[in-house]
Amino acid sequence: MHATSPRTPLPPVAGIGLRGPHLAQILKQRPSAGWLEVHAENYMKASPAAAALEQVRKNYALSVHGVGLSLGSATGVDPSHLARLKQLCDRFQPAMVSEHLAWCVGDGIYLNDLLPVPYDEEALAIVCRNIEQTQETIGRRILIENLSAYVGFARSTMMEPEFLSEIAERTGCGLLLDINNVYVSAHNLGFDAQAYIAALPAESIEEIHLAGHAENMTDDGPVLIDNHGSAVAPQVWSLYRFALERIGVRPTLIEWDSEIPPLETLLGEAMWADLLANSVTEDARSMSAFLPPSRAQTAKVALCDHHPARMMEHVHA
Amino acid sequence: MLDLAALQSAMTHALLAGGPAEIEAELAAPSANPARRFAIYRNNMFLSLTAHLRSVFPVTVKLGDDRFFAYAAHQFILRAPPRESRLVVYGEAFPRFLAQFPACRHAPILAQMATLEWAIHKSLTSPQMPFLEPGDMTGLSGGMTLAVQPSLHFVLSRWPLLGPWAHEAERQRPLMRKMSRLAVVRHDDDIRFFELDPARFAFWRSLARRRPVEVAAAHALARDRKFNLVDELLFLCRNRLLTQA
Repeated sequence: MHATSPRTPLPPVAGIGLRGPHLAQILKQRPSAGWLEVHAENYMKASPAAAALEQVRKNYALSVHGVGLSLGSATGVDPSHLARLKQLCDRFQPAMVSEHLAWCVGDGIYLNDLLPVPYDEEALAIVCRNIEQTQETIGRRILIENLSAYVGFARSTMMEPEFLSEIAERTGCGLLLDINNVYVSAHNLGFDAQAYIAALPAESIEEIHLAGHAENMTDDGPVLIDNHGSAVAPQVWSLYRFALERIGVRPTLIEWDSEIPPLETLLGEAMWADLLANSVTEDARSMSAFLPPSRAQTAKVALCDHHPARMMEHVHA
Repeated sequence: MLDLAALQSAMTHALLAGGPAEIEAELAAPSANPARRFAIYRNNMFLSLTAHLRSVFPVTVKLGDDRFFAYAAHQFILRAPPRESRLVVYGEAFPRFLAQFPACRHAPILAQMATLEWAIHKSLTSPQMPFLEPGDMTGLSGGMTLAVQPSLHFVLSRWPLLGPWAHEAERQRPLMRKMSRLAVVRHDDDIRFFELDPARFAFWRSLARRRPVEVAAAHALARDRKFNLVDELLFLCRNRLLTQA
């Protein structure tokens, strides 16, 4: 095991994505989520959502996750979008800011999807330049998330972990390890998911994402689609356990962006993440200190009567 | 080999136009057809943008039939793709697109309903400012301007849209033409509608355009000599439509 201590300012427990349908309930009930993640682009305009986030942040640590900066764009990042991101960070003071190793703007058009870059020296220089510009503008380090991919590039000269390691080395940014994305890409592009995680610099990984995916049957066989529309798959829980054993406990987000379920379902998934982390960590007490009291209580109860079969699946997979 | 900027430009073109022939040699997918894999991104892009438009224009979807809306949205995305990553601002041109879309020639109400729904969307995503009390207007002069709530938006239509909008599922009755002047505003979590006569519509809209009160009143009086400025200002205050900004 090469577990390392995270230097992230987020508590090393599971958080959930703050989505519109749950906003009123979260404000009213203040459920014991470890922390909340918001998509940067949803709060860049003066709006009721931004006003509500002012209330939410009084009770929760925030992680701002961007989906539109297009750090992989050869033409650079949009300065006005970057300025909006800075305003957002200045206003809400999130504990963490993250973006994707991807591009989503081409010829001035926002493509509303996260597209892969080739893993070669040219792309590396471009991505690093864009990350440095971002970090300089907003005045803080960011985390870069690995992408789920359906296709690669013939010109690539590096594997993704090597590319990400170089980015972290050259720019000083941290890494956000999306376990579901690793699983999806490994299946779609035919690489070993555990070897991928093992090849990443553990000390650079400061946050983990977990999500559900879908399986589509095509003429080429099954392809996994990263749709964030279901519970975390058992294989992804297993890979999460592998990652925890390898790198140690990290703040972990349960992402669910389509077919959004009741808040309780998200909190249940977050609880499983905490329980799994608790079972893996060498010193469980060190993590319990970060759990809100009500969350710690819930976890104890859940250990006794919650889906033991599913838990076994995680342990032995 | 293309440099990265040219590759991304070619991929953008392939995503919008379909058929990645230009970039096929660049793509790699073990045990799969790279072009078919690339098509997943294209599908994601169109499906997610169409889903966004559906969420902004739900009644237009129902009025026009779901498959027709998907077709219209696809054509709109091709002609006017988003230019920035804040999707909340994407769709403003959709009503105008529908008004000029040949397939909508025999259903002009679709464009008008989309106009109303865009106004509702803008209201729902606008901030709410502290409102002005009637007492705050002491000393108001004709040359002054008044600020209205940022969520106040206006719709001018040749059809009475509120009925079909409110009873979106129970349509199919022929709709008689009737000029409709609407104001839409957000109060907390609610959307409120005001159906206005020509004079009041002109007055409210002039204030929203930051015209001085006397100019706004002149616009109203040109449409109705009985327009009462004091009553109208009190109405606006009592309904929390004027702000302290």
